[in-house]
Amino acid sequence: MEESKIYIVIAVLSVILLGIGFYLNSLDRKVKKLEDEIK
Amino acid sequence: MKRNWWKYLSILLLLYAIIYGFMVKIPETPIAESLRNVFYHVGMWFAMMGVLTASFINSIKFLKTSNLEYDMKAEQAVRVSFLFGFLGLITGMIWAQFTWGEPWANDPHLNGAVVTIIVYAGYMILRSAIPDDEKRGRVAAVLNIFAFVMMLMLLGLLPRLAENTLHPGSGGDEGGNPAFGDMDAAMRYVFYPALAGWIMLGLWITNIRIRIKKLEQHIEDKELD
Repeated sequence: MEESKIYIVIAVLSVILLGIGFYLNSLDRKVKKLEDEIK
Repeated sequence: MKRNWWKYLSILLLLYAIIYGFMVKIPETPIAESLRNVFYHVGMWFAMMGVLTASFINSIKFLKTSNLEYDMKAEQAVRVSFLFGFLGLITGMIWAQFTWGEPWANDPHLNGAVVTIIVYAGYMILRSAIPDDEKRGRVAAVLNIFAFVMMLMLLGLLPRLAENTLHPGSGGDEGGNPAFGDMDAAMRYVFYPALAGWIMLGLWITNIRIRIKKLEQHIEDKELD
């Protein structure tokens, strides 16, 4: 685990996933805002 | 916030799948560490089947109610399914290149997956050919039910009946279904949450698409007035 340095890959992939998650969430909020506006 | 919990759960489950997917001890097999692909590559297919199941349900609702909103939802879900279908094909080809020595081995799973995608492409083409909303909805819903059954057969049933398959869990070898049978116990703790995470991610993207489409329709209705 320690010498294979695989944890660095885990860290990178986790950041990418979280980035996608935050981005999707911000899209979701933008849509919500528009939905609230037309009501 | 309250109604969005499953969206955040999908990211949490996938985070868990990435972290433990690389840390979990896997059994020794000829494909070595590439076995870990099963958490991510198979997830694409389950995400595809998840959104297509949602599409199928909406098509049935449309046939019952003739409410065009259900037809729209069914269509949007099929559109999202292509994303996961193509990701599944591409990731599968990368894995196959290193496992079987060629990106496209003649395997019932691969052919079934491609035929499934073609059937749904046919669904989209047929939709675009019918101008009348009601008529399009009815024809599309019936085709969607047919396509869903085709998918279940092509991805679920036929590869397991086939003798000459390279994927695990089929015909000749001792197998059983790899998703529900002989997978290593420790791996299952990663595999199932990963599948749930991917499915929910697919539904989240579908949810956003549907809401954007609704906004578009609202604007169109206003312009007509």
